[in-house]
Amino acid sequence: MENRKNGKINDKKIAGALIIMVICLFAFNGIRINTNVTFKYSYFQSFTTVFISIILEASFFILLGSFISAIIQVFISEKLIARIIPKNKFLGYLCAASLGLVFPVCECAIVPITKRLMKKGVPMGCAVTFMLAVPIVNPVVILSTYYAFTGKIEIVIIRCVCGIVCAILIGFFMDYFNVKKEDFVKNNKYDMESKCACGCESSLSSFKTSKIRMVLNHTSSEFLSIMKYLIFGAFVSSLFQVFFSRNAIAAVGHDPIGSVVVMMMFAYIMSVCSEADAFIAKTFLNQFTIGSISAFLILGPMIDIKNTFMLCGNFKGKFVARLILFIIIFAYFAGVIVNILSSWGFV
Amino acid sequence: MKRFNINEFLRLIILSGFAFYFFYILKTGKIYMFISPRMIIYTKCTLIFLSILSIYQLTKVFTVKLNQKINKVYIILILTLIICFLGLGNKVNSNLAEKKGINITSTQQSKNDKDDDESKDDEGNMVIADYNFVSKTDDIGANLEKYRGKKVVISGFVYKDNTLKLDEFVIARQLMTCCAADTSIVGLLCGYDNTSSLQKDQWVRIVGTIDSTQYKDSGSSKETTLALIKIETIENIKIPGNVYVYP
Repeated sequence: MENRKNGKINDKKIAGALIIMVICLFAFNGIRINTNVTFKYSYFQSFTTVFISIILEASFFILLGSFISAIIQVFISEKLIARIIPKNKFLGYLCAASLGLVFPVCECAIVPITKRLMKKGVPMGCAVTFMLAVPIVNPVVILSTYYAFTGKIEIVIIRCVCGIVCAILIGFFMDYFNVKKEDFVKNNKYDMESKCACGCESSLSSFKTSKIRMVLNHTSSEFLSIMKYLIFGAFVSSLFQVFFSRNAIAAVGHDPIGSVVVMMMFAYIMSVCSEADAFIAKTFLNQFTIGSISAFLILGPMIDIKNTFMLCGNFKGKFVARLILFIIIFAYFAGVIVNILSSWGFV
Repeated sequence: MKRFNINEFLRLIILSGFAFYFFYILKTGKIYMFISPRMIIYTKCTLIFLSILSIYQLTKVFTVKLNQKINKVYIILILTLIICFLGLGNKVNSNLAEKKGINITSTQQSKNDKDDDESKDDEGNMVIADYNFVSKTDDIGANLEKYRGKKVVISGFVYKDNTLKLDEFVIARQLMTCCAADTSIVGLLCGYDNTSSLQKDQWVRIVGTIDSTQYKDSGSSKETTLALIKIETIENIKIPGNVYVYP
């Protein structure tokens, strides 16, 4: 009975998706004919090149993140976590933020790890601080920022300090506003599936599943699950890259407030890995204020299109919405404050 | 009961498909079109890992499963795999250059004086090759006076846009840091009377003398001094195997 109901809903979804695709095709063709814009084959080639490159680059880190998440799931028990986490909340935040200095993991890999940690009992605020701090202050990113901005060590310092401060504040406020003490982790299909497949919780298994098998199961489940979000994110990001002209935003470069807003939007849309975004930011050094570049360097590793999809798949919508709101607020203030400091001559 | 699990089978297709794709692009060298050489080691690790996962997945295909509904999500992953294989025929083009704009180092950006060796050709001209393209063009742009009057040989593609004068173009290369998504365009301004005869994206080798010109940025009111190469000879060349330069 349930299968039949699920089948009906799935068929409706497919039919809906097909109808939307056909409408899009007609609209696309209509725009093409009426506005005389030539959608050359080279645009499609550029799009696929960028799309494939994002997926190629990110797959290693997603695999790594899935693997670490699987290790945590199989080998680290809730009791161990409860013993490690400091009782003092403030110390907990500091710990989470400084873990970033030793964890060379980028923003793609950190999402499954954080979800696993939260399920194992790490308090939400600390987990959020961890998730936001790691992509910014990890050693690879610090090195690449230093290398990109040779001669401007202040940018590296701003990125680290603001990154840690923002991560701690955002984690704190996420916890503070979580009055109902909700659990925000989404339990998706794969978790249920893999529990049965491992045989650790299901009685249907006919053989004892070794820990190695469990790790492999979780890794491949997590990997495939996250890949689909990466694909959505890469798709949207590539579209923007191919059709969105940078010169359009150059005009607002010197405005102390507008530049911060524009660079934050740009960081969100570009979805560049935090190891490489310093080089992109450097190309804006002449045209944009230093505060806006700082905001770009802080917001980029924390959230972008790719990341948003991944978060939506792993956490509940309310969590993701609040998180994005806080990131925007704090990155904005960081950028504006840096601009004010630079106008006073401190930077 | 049939011992065949369609979902596990699809997962096998996807995992092994990606593993094979990585193997193919690593073997044929097409990977350089997408990501930077320093990231190749990561791709090799991914290949090994995916192969292990695929082999393990093979053992799970012939298991019994109660619910045989195909998970529709796998279709997206298979579509992506198809796009990846289709993309193998791509040629790198530079229409992204128009969208990203171009970065030319000006004298305002202070740089340390780099004491590096200059490769010279038969006539004693300074040759700029792929491996030092970024550092040399940066150095020429920032320390213009050190290079004024010197002759230089550069290869790149022709970049023209409407902020440049009619007899100016930029000799450009695509700079890749991590992957094709973060490429930017770097180069030097060139002054050439016959610029209108040059096509965009045409690959050329130029010999010229380093001079300077004033450039007014549309955003700010001040004028900056930019290096300008006065072209003496220009010849068409074939598009190189690897179009990217690295920092």
